Amino acid sequence: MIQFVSISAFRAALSDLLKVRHGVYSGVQEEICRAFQNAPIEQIRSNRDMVLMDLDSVTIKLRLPDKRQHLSKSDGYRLIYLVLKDMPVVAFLTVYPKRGPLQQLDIPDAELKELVEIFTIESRARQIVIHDINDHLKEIQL
Amino acid sequence: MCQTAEISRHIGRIGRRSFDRRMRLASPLFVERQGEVARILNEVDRLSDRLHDEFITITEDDYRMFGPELKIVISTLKALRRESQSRPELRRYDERMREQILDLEELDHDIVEFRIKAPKDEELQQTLASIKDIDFSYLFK
Repeated sequence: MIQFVSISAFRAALSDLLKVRHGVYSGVQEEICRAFQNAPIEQIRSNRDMVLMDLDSVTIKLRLPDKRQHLSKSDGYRLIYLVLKDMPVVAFLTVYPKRGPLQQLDIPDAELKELVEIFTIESRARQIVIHDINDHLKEIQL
Repeated sequence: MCQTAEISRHIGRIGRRSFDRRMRLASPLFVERQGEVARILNEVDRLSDRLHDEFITITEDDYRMFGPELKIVISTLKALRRESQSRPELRRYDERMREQILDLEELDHDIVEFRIKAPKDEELQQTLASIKDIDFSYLFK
């Protein structure tokens, strides 16, 4: 069983996207779930879309389309996630759109560093949240 | 180390073809040879795929070799796109060029940030290394 978890920064980013008027980014959860549903952990770890860092864990930038807005992977979303090599844990660090009112063109190294730090702090404090990848990333209580 | 020489050659081929294309587009006697722009764009797609595939192996030395050429390809593609927009018979390539430019710019940025800067960032490397000491077993109880 793979556990999909998130840090507060991811949930804040997701919340911001879902708040945008006219449901511009309302498809984001669907796209994330679609990317990971039924995917074995080996595939998630070896996703060659954009492996940013590969050490004891793998940090990946995944390009996602936005089917609701008919946007390709180039124009859709970017999901930054970290996957452990020794346990089936996938941690969502942040998500951002490439177009629209909240568009972000890039993620700098400094921002990624901050996200990884948040991940280690919240993981140690057991503050990371588990999500149901088969139910729109609904939060699951342990 | 990635196959820098191959990437450099690939970039060089695209750069020369797209530059040549631009010069001919500017001519009032221009007539596109069938599929020529599409062939250039296919090459750009292949370059992009290659850079994605080899991303994790790219080093600073590699980027020093092909980085400047990559920037030239990006700026030449932008110029080609601008000129194509004024030619009705070439407008169908506009969207594809737009996406390719975005993709290459993003790749260029990410190579600098994550293949050159991030490995030198000791704080980041230490933080990443510390992840293996965190106990995640409670997630499976």
